[in-house]
Amino acid sequence: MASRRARRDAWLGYALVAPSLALFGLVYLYPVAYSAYVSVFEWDLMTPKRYVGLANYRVLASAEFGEVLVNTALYSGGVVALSLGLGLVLALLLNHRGALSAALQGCIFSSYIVSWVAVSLLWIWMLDPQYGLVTYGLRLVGLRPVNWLGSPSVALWTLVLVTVWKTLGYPLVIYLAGLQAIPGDFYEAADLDGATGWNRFRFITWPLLSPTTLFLVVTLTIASFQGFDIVKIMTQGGPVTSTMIYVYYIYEQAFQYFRLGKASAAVVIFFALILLLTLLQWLVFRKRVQYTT
Amino acid sequence: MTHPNPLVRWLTVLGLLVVAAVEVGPYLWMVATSLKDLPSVTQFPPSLIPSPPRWDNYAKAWQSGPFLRYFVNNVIQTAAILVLQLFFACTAAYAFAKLRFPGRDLCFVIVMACLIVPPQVRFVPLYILFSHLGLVNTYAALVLPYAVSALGTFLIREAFMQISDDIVDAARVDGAGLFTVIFGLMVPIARPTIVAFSLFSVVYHWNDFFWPLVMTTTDAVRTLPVGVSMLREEGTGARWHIIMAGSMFVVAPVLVIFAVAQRHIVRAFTFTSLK
Amino acid sequence: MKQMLAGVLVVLLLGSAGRAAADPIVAQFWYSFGGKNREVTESHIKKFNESQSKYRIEGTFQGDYFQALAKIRAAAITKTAPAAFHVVGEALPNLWQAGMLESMEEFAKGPNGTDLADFVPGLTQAGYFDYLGKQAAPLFALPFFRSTPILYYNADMLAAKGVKVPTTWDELRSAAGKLTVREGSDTKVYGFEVPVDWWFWFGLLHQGGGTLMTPDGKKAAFKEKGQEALQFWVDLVNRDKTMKQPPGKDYSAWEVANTDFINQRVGMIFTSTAFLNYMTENAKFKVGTAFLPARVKAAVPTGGTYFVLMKDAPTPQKEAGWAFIKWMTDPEQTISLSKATGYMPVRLSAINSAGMQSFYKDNPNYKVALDQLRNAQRFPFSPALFDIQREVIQPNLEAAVLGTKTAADVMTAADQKANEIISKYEK
Repeated sequence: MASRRARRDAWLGYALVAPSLALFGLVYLYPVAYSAYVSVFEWDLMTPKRYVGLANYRVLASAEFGEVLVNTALYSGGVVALSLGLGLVLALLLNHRGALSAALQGCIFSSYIVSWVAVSLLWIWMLDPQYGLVTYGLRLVGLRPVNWLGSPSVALWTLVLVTVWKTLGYPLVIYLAGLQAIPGDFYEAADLDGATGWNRFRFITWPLLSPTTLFLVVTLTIASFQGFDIVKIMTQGGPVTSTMIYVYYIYEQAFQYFRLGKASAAVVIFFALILLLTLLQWLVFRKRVQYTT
Repeated sequence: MTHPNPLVRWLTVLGLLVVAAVEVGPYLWMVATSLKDLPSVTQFPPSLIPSPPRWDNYAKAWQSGPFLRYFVNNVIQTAAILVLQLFFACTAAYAFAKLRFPGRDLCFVIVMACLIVPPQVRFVPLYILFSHLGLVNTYAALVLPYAVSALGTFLIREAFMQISDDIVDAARVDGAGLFTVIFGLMVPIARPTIVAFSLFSVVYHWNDFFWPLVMTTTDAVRTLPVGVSMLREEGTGARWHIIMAGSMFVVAPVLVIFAVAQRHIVRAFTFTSLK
Repeated sequence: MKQMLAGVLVVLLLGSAGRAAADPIVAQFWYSFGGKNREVTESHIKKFNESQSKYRIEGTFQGDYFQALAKIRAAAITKTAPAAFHVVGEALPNLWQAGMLESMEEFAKGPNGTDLADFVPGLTQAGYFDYLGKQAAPLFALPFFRSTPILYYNADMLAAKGVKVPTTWDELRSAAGKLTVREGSDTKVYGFEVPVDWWFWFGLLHQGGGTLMTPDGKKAAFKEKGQEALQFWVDLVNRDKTMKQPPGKDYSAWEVANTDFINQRVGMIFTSTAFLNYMTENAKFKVGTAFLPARVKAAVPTGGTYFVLMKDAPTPQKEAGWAFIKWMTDPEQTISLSKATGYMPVRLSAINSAGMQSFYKDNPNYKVALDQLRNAQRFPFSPALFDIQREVIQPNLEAAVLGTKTAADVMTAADQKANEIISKYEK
């Protein structure tokens, strides 16, 4: 009986997964395989492909590509850390019913749903080191203006800050949800034991939020690795190459320089690297996640 | 927020108001710009409230292209993608979470690998493929490439794994059909995750400009963000007031949905399940 | 019975022939701009379609310039490319050599031909390119929206400070100095601003007496004069501190420069004549325009896009595409296009027409780009041109201005890379 059920379950499993896998294979893996194929050619999308073996990979083993990797890691790390931190703080502060709280949540969420194009111009103006609003604010408090978008050492962090600003609504909503899913009994018990605010957070809130945190780490990391719009609109990878991140680099190689072979090789390398990283991240974090069961 | 010291409370409120102002300010600026005339837009220091408000900017933006069609297409595209993503993710997640079959974990890793492939990488091969199939300029070109979501599958699998096997077995013993189990029993329990993911998906695809642009060569199935991008001018001077008015058409529906659904979204999460 | 059948057949044939005659040949025209240019183009497409019934053109927006180019190429692979599109001059040699484009020689001489001699020489394909001693390519491109960079200046600001309009590099330098307004360590007004961009660098290169390639196109020749051009900017930004470098590559920088000019944050800028309408309508001061300052000589690049026909398109669609292109470059249309946008008319007869002449009298700023054409510099007709622009020069100029590399290093590296690319195409 059990083994019949087990076999039926196995068939069921395949049946349920097959359509998804087929689609994944077609729309995600086929392009990667295609990239792997193109990566051993030199191709401008127009003239016939020219076989060059591993030359594209050799070209990529360069300081320029290394910088792209570092930029991407920094951008992603910055966005995830700040989004989680700020999102959590705001969620803790806004975690109660009330018109004010709802209104503030709405304000924060409004920037999340607006498209990049609409706000990028405003940010470019606000950050202008000559007359931008932010510059004006800095001067008011006696600080020197910063060349937010025009200085190679600062530009990437500027993009991190703008990204966090724009996407803050998402971790806020998710953390709020996570907070409200924590049963009140835990806190009551803690209060009876005379726990302080910090202890409540450390021993109840934070651990019980760990599934939420994992959720956010994964989604934010993936979203930030695919960061493209902000670079395309605000800095185009510059100044110099300081804001060149993964997806923009590939886009530039493929559609500005029409070096599809090189772009494809970059795709293959990133795919391998990030697959590794995601698996690692997942394995590490799931040990630290606690469920209420 | 219930700190005993009133000073701390007031400072916190102040801080929150600053954050809210910073977050919503640019959105308000967008609204203000959409009602100005061009010289007012580029002047500095900027004027806050245009007088008189130029409502005709909205008419100009709307008439610059088949915006109604774009709007309908956008709704169809976003809704179709969401429905398909949820369907495939829930069914696959059920299999990954509750069923055993050889190669299950390998299949799952393959799905995870797809998380890392951005649209810029998929464009050329899929365009060529869809073109050979005659599917360019159809809804299929916009929806199929996003019909499955690795993120959704991953997240819903996590949520399903948290549901105790006993509940599932009990339901099956009671004679519940497969889809009843998945969509009638497990989905409601996993509602928080599903709502969170749906939010992510809707906002992303509603605002997506790149894919509807590159997979179409005519206006037939194009969406609002493409329409708004057509308002941008790079050669003879940008007309920001009209661009912002156009952007408002994209933002407004999602904002309305969020305003209406905010309570429901939060309530979805407070449904404390059998944890 | 037979008569009836014959009658039916005749009616059917006549009917279908009539229908065939009534069905216009449909062809696609892909364009890559939005906003005002798009509106103007679409209204002209509509007018073309209404003015005759043989052809119907459908125009569609395909993203920005690079997205459109990528889509054209992808569409060419799947044989679904449009009959007609437009493209920047620097990309033409590449596309021609790859066999993507159709020659227009036969069309131009044919029954629906056009008077090639009436085109403004500096704006044509032949006037744009230096064929490097080789045989000239046949006609395959007609000018669409064409422009040159000009010097825009805030006439009120210059008059208030008693500054003359500069005509040489040295005069530009001193004028920028006089126009810059500083308050402590802040610069309230910059004297000069220009996007650190290939197009303007190309102008400076030639103003200093340099060229991009050797006359036979086999080697890069810009190292020395290109360095001097770049150094000019480096000095203005870092030593004199009278020039603002607008942030961003490509069009964000251009938009910042325009906005700064309109907001009177800068006294003089270089940018395209295509923005003249925009500036005049939005500036609250008197806008003056002038030639780009000279050094060893006066020199300007030209810019903008050309109409081209896709070789792989079916013949009837190519005919339709040609008819449209020919019509768009006819004197009447080039006048209306120019007036609506600020780009230059491409026909001599259009420029000499009474209407345009009086327009120029009332709006002398519009004549500047036209007059400046006598200083137009040619681009080498080499497939390496596009790569040199996009990969070698454009992304690397700012490193020198930002101080992360010296102009000498930038140009030495660029020279080497350019030679690699040229030799790759020579193979």
